[in-house]
Amino acid sequence: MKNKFLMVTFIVISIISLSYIKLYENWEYKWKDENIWHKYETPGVPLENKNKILYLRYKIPDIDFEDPAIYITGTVLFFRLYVDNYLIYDNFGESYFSAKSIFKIPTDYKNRYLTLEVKSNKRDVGFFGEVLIGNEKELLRHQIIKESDRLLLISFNLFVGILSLIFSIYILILNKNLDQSKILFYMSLFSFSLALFIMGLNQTLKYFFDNPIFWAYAMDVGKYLSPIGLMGFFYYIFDYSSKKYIKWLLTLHVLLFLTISVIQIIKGPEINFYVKFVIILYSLIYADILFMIYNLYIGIFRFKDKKAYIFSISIIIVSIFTIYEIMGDYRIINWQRPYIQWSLFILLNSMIFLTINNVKELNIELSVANKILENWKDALELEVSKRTQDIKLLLDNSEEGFLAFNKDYIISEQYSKECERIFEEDIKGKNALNLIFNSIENKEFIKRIFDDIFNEKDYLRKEVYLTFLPNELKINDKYYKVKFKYIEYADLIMVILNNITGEKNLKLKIDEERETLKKIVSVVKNYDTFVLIIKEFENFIIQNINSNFQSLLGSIHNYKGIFSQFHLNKLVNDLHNIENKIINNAINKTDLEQIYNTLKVEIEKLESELGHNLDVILKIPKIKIIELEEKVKELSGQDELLTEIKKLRYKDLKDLIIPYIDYTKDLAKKLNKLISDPVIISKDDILVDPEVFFDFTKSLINIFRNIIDHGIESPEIRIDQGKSEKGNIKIDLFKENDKINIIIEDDGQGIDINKLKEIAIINNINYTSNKDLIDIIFMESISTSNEVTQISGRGLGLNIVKKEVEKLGGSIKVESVYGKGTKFHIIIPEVI
Amino acid sequence: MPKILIVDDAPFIRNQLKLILEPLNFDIIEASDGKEAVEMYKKHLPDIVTMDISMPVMDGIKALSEILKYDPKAKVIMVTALGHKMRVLEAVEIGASYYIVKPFDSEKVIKSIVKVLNK
Repeated sequence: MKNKFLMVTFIVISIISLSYIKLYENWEYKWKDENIWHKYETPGVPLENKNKILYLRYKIPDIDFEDPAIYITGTVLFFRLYVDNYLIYDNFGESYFSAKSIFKIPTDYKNRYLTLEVKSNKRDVGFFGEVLIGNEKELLRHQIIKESDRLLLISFNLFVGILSLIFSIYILILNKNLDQSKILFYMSLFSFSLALFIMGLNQTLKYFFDNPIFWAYAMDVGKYLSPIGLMGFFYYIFDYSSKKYIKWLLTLHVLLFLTISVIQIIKGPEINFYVKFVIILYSLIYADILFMIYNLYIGIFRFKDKKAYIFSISIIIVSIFTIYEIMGDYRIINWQRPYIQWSLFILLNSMIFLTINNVKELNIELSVANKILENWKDALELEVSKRTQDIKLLLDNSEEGFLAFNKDYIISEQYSKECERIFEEDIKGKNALNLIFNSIENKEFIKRIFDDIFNEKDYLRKEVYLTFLPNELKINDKYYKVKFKYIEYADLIMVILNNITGEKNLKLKIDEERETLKKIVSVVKNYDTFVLIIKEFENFIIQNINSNFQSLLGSIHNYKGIFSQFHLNKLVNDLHNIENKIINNAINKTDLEQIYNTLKVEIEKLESELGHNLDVILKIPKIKIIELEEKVKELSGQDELLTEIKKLRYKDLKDLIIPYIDYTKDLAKKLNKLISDPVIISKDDILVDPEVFFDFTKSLINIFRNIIDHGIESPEIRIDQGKSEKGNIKIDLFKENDKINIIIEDDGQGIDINKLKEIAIINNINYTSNKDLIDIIFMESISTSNEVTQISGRGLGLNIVKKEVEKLGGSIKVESVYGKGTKFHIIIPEVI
Repeated sequence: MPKILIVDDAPFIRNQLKLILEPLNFDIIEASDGKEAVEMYKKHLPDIVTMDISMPVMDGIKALSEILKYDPKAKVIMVTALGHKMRVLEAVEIGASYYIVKPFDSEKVIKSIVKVLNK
């Protein structure tokens, strides 16, 4: 069957081939200025170029053809075709555009000369292909068979181009794999440009569309585009060090193509600039080849990359053909027909192979990655479970109870061993509410908090809800410090339990003592308010013991708040119970009586702690305060409380002076002097130890005495002198540079310097200035008054003040303006 | 200077809070019941409110919801005596930012207020 088919094919081809005649031998030639024709011995071999026009002729034999036509291939670019003098085809004007190959001739062709007028340019001249005469259709058939390889290549390239373009877009849209998509795009560009290039070389197509300019440009555009496709492909499929240069070359190719295209479009198709500047393209292609080879060299020898092996083979083939083509183009060597398309075919195939390989590799990579991931996951799981075990081991040995539960309060599988000891059972899957909060009455409240925590989105608010949970829990008669943590990633609440039964008892004791201290401090600080509130509360209970308890709820709640501020914890506790009882309507009279008793107990306790009854002015014995201080020091970390207690012992200097104001007022009355109420201005809280300052403050009485006795004039004199009827005394207290300043000022008659001078003379005192004179008043046994009065004594007085001031490490000075007033200025260091 | 509205019917408690807040240099305004608190809030728009839970005329929770209705971003800290956690929880569920418990621990009070203010 196969043989029969072959035979039929052979016969058909033979018939076809018989229907035209080869015009081969008997060619003649002459140069333009010659008159005689020479015999062209071996057609196909170029004649030596004489830079003139060459005529070649052949006498068409006497054979019949219905539809006669000439078939010529392998001609140079510029030629005219005649049958005798009848011009069949003129390619002289259309520089660089290769002509078609089938030309119709007039029917009276027999025995006429077929003449070729050839423009010999730089190249050698002649024709190197076939010249046939026959029926046009048969010649076409002949041409198609001859060019079947090219036609197949064109179809193949177009097919690959379209297919890879489709895949490129598909991958871009669906897989978002930009690199893979680019590889396919450049391959598509390369395929299309090859198709264009080969189409331009193809004669058959010119038969159907006789526009040499179009085909020439198609070929050139193909020539310029194909390196772009190739380099782009290369750039994305190989990943070696010279990538940067490959990218430059790619850019240069694109720029070159665009520049020439722009020039071509502007200047029109007369001159083919693609051909004119082809040398640039060739140089670039050389560079391309060099870099590709270098790249492949690295790929082969350094990376042992299979892709590089495959590609380099085709690159070498293409390089050889390219060099051959270029050499042929410039007639360095003789060539008949370009075979570069076949090398490009190989290249394209290797590209397809690589692309498919690449995709496969990608898939393999993916599956390998998956496999690795799986293994890794297994390893990780193993590690995690090991870690979990490690952590569990750690937790088990920490003697702390760790457990976690989810929003259904179900306890997770993982919990520390200590939990079993705490709960005395296996707690996995149990309800946390029942288990952990067994001792808590109001489980609904706890449940509500947990629900709030699990439902709340805001993390900070979750934290707020967590604070509602108890800090301590009693589980199976033991006390536990309990911490709750919300674990965000697992949506669990973790519970950490610490046995504090031992500490608890101790702590309860310490807490109690601390509370006692706090109670005393707050009571002492707010003594008046406290006494008032206690009285008010007593009355409240007595008055309401028979009334409607419901109406008392608000008041009881308020008292609870107030008493808690005073740390009367027992009373607060009782009030809290009463509140609950009122709410639950379970209250009776005895409860209020109970409250009253508790109050009494609390007060009695407090009174013994303060050292006196509550109904008198607060005056805690010093010994009590020192006792408190010692207690606070025992309970370490109570600085704030210590300061507060110190404040109890220390007094404001102002308070120490105030009692003498009343004395001064009384004295003035006795001596018939009128004074306004003395003013004390205290800018700072000057806390002093009243024990230390007692003698000093007592001594101040002498200053006041002197002011009333000697300073302030009688009302009549004052009015005479234009002063106010009442004398004014002002006391200024302030701190400056860690020193306590006390200024006592009056607007009396002041000190009479002249009188002091007399006294100085009498007492034999030397003085150099008025200041020395004034200081006389602080001397013993000196008095400036004429009479020795009962009030001021005999000069004893101010010297006592001076002594006391000096005992405290301070100083006193006096300034006086006669007739205007006197000013005592005492300075005492704060720390004595 | 942050403005704080202290709401409590007991002047003593208000004074306690004022004493604690003194070093913070707050601009302090006061209200003695829920109704007054809501009016004061609308008038002065304080940065933060401390609100006693149980008060005459209008209690703290009612006042809280009124204030939140007026200003959903209001920062209200509930003040409560020990053992009233259920009502405080209710207040937090409604939208109170935090709560402090009597007796006041001045450090805790300041911390809570600063924390809520910085939120």
